[in-house]
Amino acid sequence: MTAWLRSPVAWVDDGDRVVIVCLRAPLGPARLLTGSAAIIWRALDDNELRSVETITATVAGDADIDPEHIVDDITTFLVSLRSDGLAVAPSMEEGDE
Amino acid sequence: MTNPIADLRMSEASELAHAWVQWQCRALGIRSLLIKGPGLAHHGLREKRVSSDVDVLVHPADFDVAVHALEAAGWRRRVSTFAADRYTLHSVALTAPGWPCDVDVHRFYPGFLEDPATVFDVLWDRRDSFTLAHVDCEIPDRLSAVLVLALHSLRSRSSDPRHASELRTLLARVDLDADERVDLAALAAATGCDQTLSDVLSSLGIPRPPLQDSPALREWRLRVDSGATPTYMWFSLFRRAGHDRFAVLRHALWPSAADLRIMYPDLPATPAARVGARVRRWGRGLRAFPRVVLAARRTRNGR
Repeated sequence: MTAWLRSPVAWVDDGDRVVIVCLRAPLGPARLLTGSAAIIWRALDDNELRSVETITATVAGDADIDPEHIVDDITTFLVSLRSDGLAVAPSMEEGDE
Repeated sequence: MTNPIADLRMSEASELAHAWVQWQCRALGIRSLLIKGPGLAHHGLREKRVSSDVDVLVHPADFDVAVHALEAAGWRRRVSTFAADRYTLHSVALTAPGWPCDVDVHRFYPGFLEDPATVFDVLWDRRDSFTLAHVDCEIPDRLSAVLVLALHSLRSRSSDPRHASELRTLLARVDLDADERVDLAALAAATGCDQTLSDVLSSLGIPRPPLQDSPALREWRLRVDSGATPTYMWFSLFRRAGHDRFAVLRHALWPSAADLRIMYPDLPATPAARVGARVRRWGRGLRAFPRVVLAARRTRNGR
């Protein structure tokens, strides 16, 4: 299963919202994550690859939801993070080459 | 997709921009130190508060490369007044669309009278680091930060009580042991602020060094003693303007509409409002002038 980690980003989190900026130039707009998006973001790591299963289990535990009900949404969101340059999945990058 | 943020708060922008700027410098192989701002709170030298500027010090040889890189990445030089263009030589202020904070890139820090490259190397060799916005950032170590904050407080406008308050807080918070006093005295001498900060260092238990007069020290003392008012700035510009003195005097007495827009953004865009603003400036300038003249006289006489 695909594993994910955060891209090089700076981010702040006040508990209600996460605001992120990609560190690679040029300066892009800061991105806002709230609610479940912020929870998924917190389940990622800067250095350690995490599988969708692990991320889903973490989010499901935090939100007290059945993992099976959210795994597809989480996968879709992770792909959108990748599109915005905020997360990477090395196995997908290899597939791109 | 994630959403670009519409209401980026200053607290968020400041932290993110500090980290972003330092990352860019590091990616270019440029050594940079985040001075003032959150690093001061990290060292416990002042209360944590939101900084509206990112102050970054780079080696003077890297200054142009750093500024050009930030410009290429989306930052633009802040439009400044006739006087600020000519007076502010130590840094460049940059802004970016959608970002409420400025980035001030410093090629040197006023009050450190030693050669700027030497000062940077000394500060860099002692640097500390901390995490900001989940990014490792490099800052001056605690004793270097004491000097930076003291210089900043002294050189800022005396009409803003915050700076005097910060200096009092600094002196109350810094309790040095004997080794630290020796270290701080050596650091002040190596960076050329043992004279500019002689009163502050004396308050911290460090003996005053013998006076070593220099034009740079006299200019520093004139600025501090005159309260760093706009009147002082014009006085200083006028003295060093050479053949440009008429232009300096003209702008001092009759600032352009463009300069007025920068100085007073809320000023109505009418000729009458502009004339009124200019006349009010004369009043403030005349009231501040005696202090500048007295400071200049004291400085000339070596106090």
